Parts: sequence; C-alpha cells; structure tokens
Amino acid sequence: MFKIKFKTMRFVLISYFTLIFQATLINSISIAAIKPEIILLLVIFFALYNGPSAGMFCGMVLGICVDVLSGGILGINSFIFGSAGFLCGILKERVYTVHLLTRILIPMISCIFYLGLYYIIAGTFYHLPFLADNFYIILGTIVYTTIFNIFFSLLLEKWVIVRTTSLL
Amino acid sequence: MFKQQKRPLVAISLIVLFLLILIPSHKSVHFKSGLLPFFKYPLSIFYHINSSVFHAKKIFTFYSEYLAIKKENDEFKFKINQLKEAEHENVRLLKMLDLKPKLPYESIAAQIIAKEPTNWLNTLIINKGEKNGIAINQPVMSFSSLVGKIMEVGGSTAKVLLISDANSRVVVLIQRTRVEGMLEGIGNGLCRLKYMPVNADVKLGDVVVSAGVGGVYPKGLIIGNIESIRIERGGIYKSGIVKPAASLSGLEEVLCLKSSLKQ
Repeated sequence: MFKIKFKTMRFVLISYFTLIFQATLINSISIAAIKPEIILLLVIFFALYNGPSAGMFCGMVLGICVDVLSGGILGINSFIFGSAGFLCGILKERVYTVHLLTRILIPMISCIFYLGLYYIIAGTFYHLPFLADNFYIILGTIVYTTIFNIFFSLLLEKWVIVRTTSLL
Repeated sequence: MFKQQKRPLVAISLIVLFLLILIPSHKSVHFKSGLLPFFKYPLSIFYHINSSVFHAKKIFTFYSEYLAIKKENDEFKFKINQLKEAEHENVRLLKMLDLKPKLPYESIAAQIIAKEPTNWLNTLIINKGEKNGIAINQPVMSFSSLVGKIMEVGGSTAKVLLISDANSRVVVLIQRTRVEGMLEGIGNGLCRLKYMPVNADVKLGDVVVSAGVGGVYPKGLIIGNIESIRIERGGIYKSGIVKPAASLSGLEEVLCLKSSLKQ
C-alpha cells in the first residue's frame, strides 16, 4: 500500500516540477530559442520502466498539463504524449533501457514522432511556421533533446530508481 | 507484454483524446484557465530564478552598455525638451483647429510567470487576469514597444500571443515613409513584413510602427526595425524581416493596454 502511494507521490512531484522547469528555467539553457522537450523525455523514461498502459496514462496526464500551460489546442500534447508513452511502453521488455544506444535512439525517434505529429495536427487547426523557415527548430529540438536525454535519464535513474529502492 | 484485455481501453482513451482536440478553443479555454492557478505561484518563483540566471549571463556586457546608455540619455534629455515644446505647440494648434488630442491608453502592469513550454508557439503567461481588468485582444507592450496581444484570459492569469508567433498578424507602417504592410511572426523570435509594394521606399534599419488598422493595436506603437529586405517571387511585393524592438526572450514585465482612453 505504502509502495503504491509512494510511487504515485514521487511521480506526481517529479512531473509537477518538470512541468514548472519546462515553462520557466529551461529558457536559461535554451540554445538559439530551442529548448529540449523534457516532458517527452519523462514520458519515455516512465513508459520504458512501467509498460504501455502506465506510459500512456503518464503521457496523457503530462500532456494535458502542457496543454494548460501552452497557447495551443487543448488535447494535442495529451494525444501525442499518450501515444508516445504507449509506443515506448511496448518496448519495455524488448530493449535494454540503460544501453547508450537506447538512450539515444528512442528519444530521437520519439522526438521525430512528436514534432511530426504536432506539426500535422496543429497545422490543420492553426497557422504554424513554414517548415522551410524553421527546419532548424525541428533539427535543433531533435539533437538537443537527444543529447539532453543522456544526462537526464542518468539523473532520473540515479535519483528516482536508486533512492526509491534504498528508501523502500 | 501488453495485455490483450487492455487494448480496447487504450483505443478508447486515444479516441477520446483525439476528440478533445476537436473542441473549439473558445470552449476549452475555460478548462485551461481553471487549471492554470495550480501552477501560478511555483511558476512565478521559478521564472524569477530564470530571470536572475538570464541577467547573470549578461553581467559582463552591462558596464559597456551602461556607458553607452548614459551618453544616449544626455541626447534624449535634449530631445525630450524639444518634444515638450512641440507637444505644447501641437496642443495649441489642435485647439485652434477644434480637434481632440490623442491621449495615451491606460495600462495594467503585469509580471511574466511562464513561457510557452513547446518549441512551436510563442506565448507567455502573465500574473494578471480578468479580475484585474485584462480582456482578450488587449495589446501588450514592453515599456517601449509592442510585444503582442492577450489571447486567453483566466481569473488571475492570462496568455499573451507574441508578435513573433506564426498566428500573429499586425497591420504596420514604415515610420519614415508611411508604407503599409502586414507583419506576421515566423516563430524564431523574428517577424516577416509582407505585402509592401515592390517600389516602396524601405531601407535596412527603418522603424516599423503599428498602423492602427483592425481595432486591436493603437496607431504608432513601435514594433521593431527592418533587418533584411527582398522582393517576393513573382516580383509583385516586397517583404522584409523585422527584429522586434523588445527582447522577447528576456521580458519580465509587460503593460496591457486598456481599450478605453485615459481621461
């Protein structure tokens, strides 16, 4: 009972502060106005460790929160993060999560999936910048998010998994 | 492995989420602004920390900037005196012609508490909302130039659509030659000025101001400077890249202009 509550609390707290970080402090480490998609990284991390259902749920909840903070359409991030969480969750037992290649390839593919789907859905309802004008946003986000994930996933593993195990 | 009995649940969840996207934005705004207060205070604290980091990065350039600004200040003092004279003269002439003088708009100062979490859009969240007199479509300024307009209003927070967002449109004038054009954001902190006649007199560095057309932005608000000019394909229109006068990435406070004129 305590384990479930502690895990839930831990997830809520980490998610909440990651969200706050994505909307505020992330701007301090942005390069040419490009910031890493750390919410997406958190969803991937959570999905890879907890499976498709939990990954999807985590993606949906975090996506809704991003939608609240964003000026975009309600539900778009929730839908994409939910889908990304589900797809990454399927890989739970098929990939070795701590391998460097996993840390690079999965965030890279997820980021391409996220940006591509966002552009298609948001472009249907909204006016988005032309791809030719902002190709560097896509490329920059993919590269920066992938590099950021190498450190971010190490930090999450060290702080979240190790600390929780020692506490329990 | 993913259990088969959970598949319908996953499919239903994704369909529900996709249907959520189809809700018109004017209806979903109530839901979004209802949840925003849960983030307001932590966002405000963390944004202050972010601003401190932003300033700490710039500390080495401050002294040289200070000297340049001091010199500029002396020049401005002289110009202000000249302008005061011109203002008095203007008021006298308006009285003679029986015209009402244009007064500046009343404004509400607000602090920025967060920025757009995604890379595609350019929006801000401010700590003032409906309770403070903020309304949709109010123009938003830095202390010297236009930065955007209010796009969503909650009880104690509001979202600002920046002029650099791809959804922003402002009818503008080149201050020097009064050439009219349409300014739209291109998403990377810059704006594109479109639909200027191909023979328009436009130079690099020209100041761009709002034209006062459309009922959202008052006339004459400084927006930015022209950085580059080119003739569009087909040779009918000229377009240019405009760099906003306000540093959109380093904003901390903004002024929301009320629609009613100061009495």
